[in-house]
Amino acid sequence: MDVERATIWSVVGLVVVTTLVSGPLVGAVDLTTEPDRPALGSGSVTVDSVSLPDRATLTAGRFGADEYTLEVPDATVQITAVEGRPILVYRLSIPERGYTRSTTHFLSDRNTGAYSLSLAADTFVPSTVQNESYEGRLEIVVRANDSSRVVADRAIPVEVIE
Amino acid sequence: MSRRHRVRRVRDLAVRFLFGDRVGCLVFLASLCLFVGLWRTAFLINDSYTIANGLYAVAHGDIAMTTAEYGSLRSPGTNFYDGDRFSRNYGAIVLSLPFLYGIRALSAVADPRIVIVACWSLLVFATIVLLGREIDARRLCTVVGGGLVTILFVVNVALAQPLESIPYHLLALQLFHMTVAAFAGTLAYRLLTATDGRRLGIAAATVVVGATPLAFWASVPKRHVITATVALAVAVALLYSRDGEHEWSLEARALCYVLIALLAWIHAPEALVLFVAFLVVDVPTAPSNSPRTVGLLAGVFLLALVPLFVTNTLISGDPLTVPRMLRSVSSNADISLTGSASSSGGGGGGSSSDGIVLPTFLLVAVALLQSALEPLTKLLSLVERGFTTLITDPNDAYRTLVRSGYVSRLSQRAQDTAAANLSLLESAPLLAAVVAVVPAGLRTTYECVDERSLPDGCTSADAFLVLFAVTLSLVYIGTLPLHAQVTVRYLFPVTPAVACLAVRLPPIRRALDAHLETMLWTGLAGVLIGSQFVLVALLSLDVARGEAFQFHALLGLAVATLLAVWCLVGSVTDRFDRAGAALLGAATAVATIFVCFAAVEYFGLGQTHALPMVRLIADVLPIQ
Repeated sequence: MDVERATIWSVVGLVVVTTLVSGPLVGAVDLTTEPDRPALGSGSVTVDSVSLPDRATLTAGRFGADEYTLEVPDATVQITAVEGRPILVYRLSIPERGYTRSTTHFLSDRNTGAYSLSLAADTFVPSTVQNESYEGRLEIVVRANDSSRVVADRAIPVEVIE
Repeated sequence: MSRRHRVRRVRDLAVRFLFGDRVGCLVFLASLCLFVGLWRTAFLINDSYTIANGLYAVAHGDIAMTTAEYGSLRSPGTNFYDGDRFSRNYGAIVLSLPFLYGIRALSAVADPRIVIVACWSLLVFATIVLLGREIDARRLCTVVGGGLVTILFVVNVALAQPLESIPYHLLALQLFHMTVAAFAGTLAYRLLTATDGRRLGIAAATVVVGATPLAFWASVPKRHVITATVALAVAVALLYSRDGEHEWSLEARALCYVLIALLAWIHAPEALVLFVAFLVVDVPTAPSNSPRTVGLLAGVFLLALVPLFVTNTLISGDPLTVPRMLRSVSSNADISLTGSASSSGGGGGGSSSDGIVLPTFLLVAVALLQSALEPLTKLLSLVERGFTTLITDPNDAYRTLVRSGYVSRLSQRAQDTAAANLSLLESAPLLAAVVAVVPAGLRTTYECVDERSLPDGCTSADAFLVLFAVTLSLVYIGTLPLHAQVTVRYLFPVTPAVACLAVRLPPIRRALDAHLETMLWTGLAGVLIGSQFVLVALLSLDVARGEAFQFHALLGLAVATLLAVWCLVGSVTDRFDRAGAALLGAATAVATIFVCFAAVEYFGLGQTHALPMVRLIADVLPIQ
């Protein structure tokens, strides 16, 4: 009985005291800090080399999901230096369909070295996919200090896989 | 000494009223642990903005929305009247106020993120300690549980990041809905304990919490879980009120009316469905319908409707026009019980154009009667449309109830997001157990028709739940399938009710009574081990999100098929009862796994999981 009681009260005590001690009233410790970050989209990035994938795929859904999923393999960039919080944009456009999709990556000084850029998957309604492949264009854009420049681009086929 | 005695007595009464007994309390706590574990502090559906902004307005002493604290003031579900914008579900908004004040008070002394972690840790600890008392392992559970909870707490605190701009109003709404949803399991336990004993009660609580998407919808501030819980609560109260031995049978009957009235304050159309189903069962089966009893019940009902009348009067000046009957921002998916914008002017107006001047009180009475009958006729036409759709276009019903697959019309409406809609059966494979009705029905129909009574062992609560499930399904089946349903959420309130009924069917009741442990262990092992197999399968198949949903769907259907076959076999022989119990456990596990994956991965909502630990898991798992 004593062991039980002691366990219960010590666990409850630990939880409650930790909560109160970290709260604004006592403020002894802050348990939920995040490092200060400079404003997004400012600073600069030095990109050494870029490798873009040579094709993207539009795959029909399995298990009765039917709709097509657009998947673009990751691009890899060699980053030599990052200052502040610049933005890297990985973009695919398919002019024939009037389609663009981009994923934004926020960099920080931890991202030097090889960095892989992903492009979030998207879905297409089956009835709109008629070609066997589409002409696509990949771009990597750096945005910092209110200006943007294309670091790399490449024309790729978007292949439809049934 | 006497004060202490009194405190204990009050505590015991409160526990008995709310939870029934200690197991009921245990189910409640365990449900909350699960719901908080899957909680994401973000908006899942954009009409929740309307409710959160409504709570913001009400907390600032205003019933009309003027500030868009969240999203915009044009989000779906916003109602216009006289140039003002109004929210809806005002009952839920007002009842969330205590939670809002609670969080505000706590955040004055502690970091909200840490408060959530602390409360969850204490909930888990309380659950384990209580479980230890139930299974006669007090010391073991306390010590092991204490260690486990300490580790969980420390890990979560170590991983904690601050909540960015805390959405207090959303948190309050979510906490209210989770609390209500946590009663669903408890009520299922009480319902089945009263009719079939404790073992079946535990089984019912397990399937309601685990084998339905309850945990997914619990933290979404929408009416579905509330309607589901109120339906079960009315069933329990109805059962108690028919028990002549019960010391509070009349009070229990009155409580049914109070609950339905309060639900009307939150969502009038679904409350009406519940009310009609309830009246049809209550009046013919009541022990007494003397004028005194009926007068008393009517008085209690009207009294409980006062909050609804007050809210309506504040908004439109007409106590009988609920916000949903006003002109809404878009004719979105929700049903409205007034077909067009022909709302009857306002009760006090009394505009008679026929030249015959009626006394004002008569005009008022006629207007009141009209606006009371209008929803009823609309309800009947909706039910009728449901019937017609079922007969003329069974394909839509099949897509809604059995196999979802790809519905092109839905994916076009849900632009830019993968189609993510499971059918009712796919999201809750346990529902396949209703096929056991066929052999049981065949056997008893003849006797029932002969004796003009409910079948043997069938209670008024059963009749009410059946009627409620059928009516609600018919009301919505005409509009389904719709986008943004995830698990056919409009029909969700039906699922716990049908789960409770299914457990009472002869083969299932027999199997669970004999092999409850098999079911519980299969369910637990299924969740812990099966989820890893599902994860490996999803990773190795490299699925997109729409495919992942359909993978869960097929898994659910496979279990549902096996369960259905067993139910038919089990109606003839009891040789495979242990397998049946295991199948029921598997059905529970499949549904739980889907709910966990949906909450943690597919609908992470920008990794806003309330528990830092769960956020880490979501980050680590490479599923889209």
